[in-house]
Amino acid sequence: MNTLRGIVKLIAISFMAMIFFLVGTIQAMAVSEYPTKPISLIVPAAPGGGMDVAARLISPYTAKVLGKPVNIVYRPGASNTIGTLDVLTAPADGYTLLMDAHSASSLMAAAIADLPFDWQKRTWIGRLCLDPVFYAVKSDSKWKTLADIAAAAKKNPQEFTWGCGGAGGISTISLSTFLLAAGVSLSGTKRVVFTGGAPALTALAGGHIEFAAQQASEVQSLASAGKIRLIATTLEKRSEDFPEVPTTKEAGFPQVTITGWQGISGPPGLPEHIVNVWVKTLKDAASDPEFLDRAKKVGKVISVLGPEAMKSMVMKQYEEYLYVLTQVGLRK
Amino acid sequence: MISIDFLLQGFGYALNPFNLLMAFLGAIFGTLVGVLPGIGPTAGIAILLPLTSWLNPTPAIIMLSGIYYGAMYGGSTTSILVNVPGEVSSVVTALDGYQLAKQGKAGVALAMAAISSFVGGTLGLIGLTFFAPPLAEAALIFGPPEYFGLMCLALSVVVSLAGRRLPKGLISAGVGLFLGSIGQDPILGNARFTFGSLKLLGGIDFVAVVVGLFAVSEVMINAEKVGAVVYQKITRLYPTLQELRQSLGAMLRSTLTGFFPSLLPGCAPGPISFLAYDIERRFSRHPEMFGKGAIEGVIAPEGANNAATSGGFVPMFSLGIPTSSALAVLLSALMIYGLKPGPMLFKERPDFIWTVIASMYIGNVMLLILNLPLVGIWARIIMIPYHYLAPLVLVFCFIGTFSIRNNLFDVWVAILFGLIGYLMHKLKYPTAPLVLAMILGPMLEQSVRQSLTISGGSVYIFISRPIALGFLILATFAVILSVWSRLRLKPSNLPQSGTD
Repeated sequence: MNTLRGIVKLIAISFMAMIFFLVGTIQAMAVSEYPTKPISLIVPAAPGGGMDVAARLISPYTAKVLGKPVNIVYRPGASNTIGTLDVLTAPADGYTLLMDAHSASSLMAAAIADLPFDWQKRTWIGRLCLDPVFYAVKSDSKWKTLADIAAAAKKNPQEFTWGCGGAGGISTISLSTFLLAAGVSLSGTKRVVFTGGAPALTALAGGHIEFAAQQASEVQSLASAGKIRLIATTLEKRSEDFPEVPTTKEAGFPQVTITGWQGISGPPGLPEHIVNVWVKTLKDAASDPEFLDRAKKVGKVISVLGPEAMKSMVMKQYEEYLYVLTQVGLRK
Repeated sequence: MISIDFLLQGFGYALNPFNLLMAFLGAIFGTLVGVLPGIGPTAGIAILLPLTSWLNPTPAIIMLSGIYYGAMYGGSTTSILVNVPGEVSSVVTALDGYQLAKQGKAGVALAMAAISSFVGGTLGLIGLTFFAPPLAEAALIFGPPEYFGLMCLALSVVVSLAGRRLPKGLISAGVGLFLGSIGQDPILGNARFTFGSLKLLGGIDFVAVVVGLFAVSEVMINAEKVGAVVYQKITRLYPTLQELRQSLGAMLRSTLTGFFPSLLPGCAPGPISFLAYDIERRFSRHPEMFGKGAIEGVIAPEGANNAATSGGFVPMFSLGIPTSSALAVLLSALMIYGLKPGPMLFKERPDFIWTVIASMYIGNVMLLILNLPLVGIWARIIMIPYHYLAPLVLVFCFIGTFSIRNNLFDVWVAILFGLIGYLMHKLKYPTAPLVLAMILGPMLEQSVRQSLTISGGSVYIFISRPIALGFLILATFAVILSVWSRLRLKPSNLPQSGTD
């Protein structure tokens, strides 16, 4: 009897040990084998925009490093909410990720008061790059500095015509923040809203509006063509493409440092090993000279942040944007 | 800035085998993309954009540009054959093109569409070659008030599209305006008519509506007539020389109508094709034939949309301003190569830009050569027994509609509008005004609100600016003329709408 019980115990223990061993191995296999199939990177906007450019930068690089295709899937609609929600409700297996940006997180939440989902419920993975904002006027405008514009707007707000590329986008927040900092009462001014950066800048070049702010990739062509003049940039230091344009700090407005950014996020509850794979990929990209070169060509400033830093940056931005947009009455 | 030397040199490079191959691939892929409803040149260019990692800039841009104008050739094929507009710009082609197909003249329609596209595209390219910089500059004069004027003129086309049934046509247009406003307010961002639905917040996609109203409803209407012949036998595959000669005027007029508006940002080829259709109708000696199978009704939009494609490159290359979403993606391709559009591009990289422009001429020729013989093959597709053809058409439509935004919602919209289109047909409401109003409504709204903001609320801005005033006067004139001629003519002579 004792021997039988002993044998049963032995078998039971070995069996359990085997299970544990196998489970452990499978876990290890899962960890080391991500990805085993193509990954979908959802861009919640239409092709051709800032998120698209960033997605096109990072996806071939990641595909090369991880050995599996990273497919860009466009899911535009409703100010990035549709695509974002799709990712946030997708299975947390690392095969559906979000090309995140200010417009899909901090700015989106600040601009839209009744979002039908909890935008904070996501796994922050990392920030990839910054999209600096440039303030611009028409090339023959009499205004030469931000101070000129601030003075003119304060003196005659009824006649001050400024244009935004999009109802609640980066241009709205950049221009509002600057004007608030300059002490201009926004309700008296003329804010003209366009469907995107290109129409806004075209209107600026044609003299239909007097002041605009858009991201680097959007202002590049018209500025090089001499149709618009860049007045200031929100970067830390001057842009290499436009070294004659002062920073907002130099121009006397150090508190105005709005930049767009793009990064990667995932559904809530994404396993840590998957997050780590992506964070490492982003950090490696940031030190790869070829990658940096390609980024420079499209006007993106590579500035990688890990998950914790990204989350705190987003929260800080959200608070700021919420304040500005509520102040100027643009929060819907 | 332009020198014949550069252009000839460009031809030299463009004719090298690899660049020729790239132009050919772009044109083929573009045609395919144009044929499929839902996937437009925007998505097509976006899909092939990763190839830029492996190609040099010149062949890459040659290919991607080829997709853009190729799509304008392809879109008309399914519009004519099975009333499935592949693109916004092919919607108008379907009005008369499909009627022609039903009358057994599918071959003629397809061939004329191809020839007209070629003429429009090539003449547009000549405009691009010689007049790009001054044209781009001039286009900057267009501000919100001028857009408003142009949109009013375009909307006045509704009156012609309504044909005999003006009141019903106007109601149809009203519904279109309403549908266009569903979603986010373009200026303030708040939700309109969404009933709390996130899907509706994104707006109702226009292509889904068109596919439903035109294609799905047509299948339902035909399904009712069990055993009836949908398509008559094909009598002729190609137009006669006399028909070609008679069409020359239409082709030239539509080129002009297509080229100039396309210089303005926001004027994609779609609305422009409606305008061209209407202008052609006014010049025609038999306006009542429009909507019943007038060949000019195919020539006008096709010539215009290809001229508009060429014209769209003017602000793109001269100033870096994309006038449509497809060009925006193409612009990002240029940026990936570090090529900044503008006068600098012409000065510093004449080899690149003139090679690309030269290859566009070649691409248009290729497409003409490709499409003409294919007319026979395409036309025979409709000889498939309708009970096999119809389900194929539906599958094709639904796949295409899904691919617009990778969203099943759009497919449901197509189905719903299929039902609505069927009802509209039964109740004799014309569908074309709804479609036009749906595209133009948002553009009209934005431009009027922008204009009024600039003017501080004063309507005087529309009167004080000559170009805007000019368009508004033209639009009023056009409406009065249409209504007056309607009252004068006997009812049987009135222009028909496409749903008869």
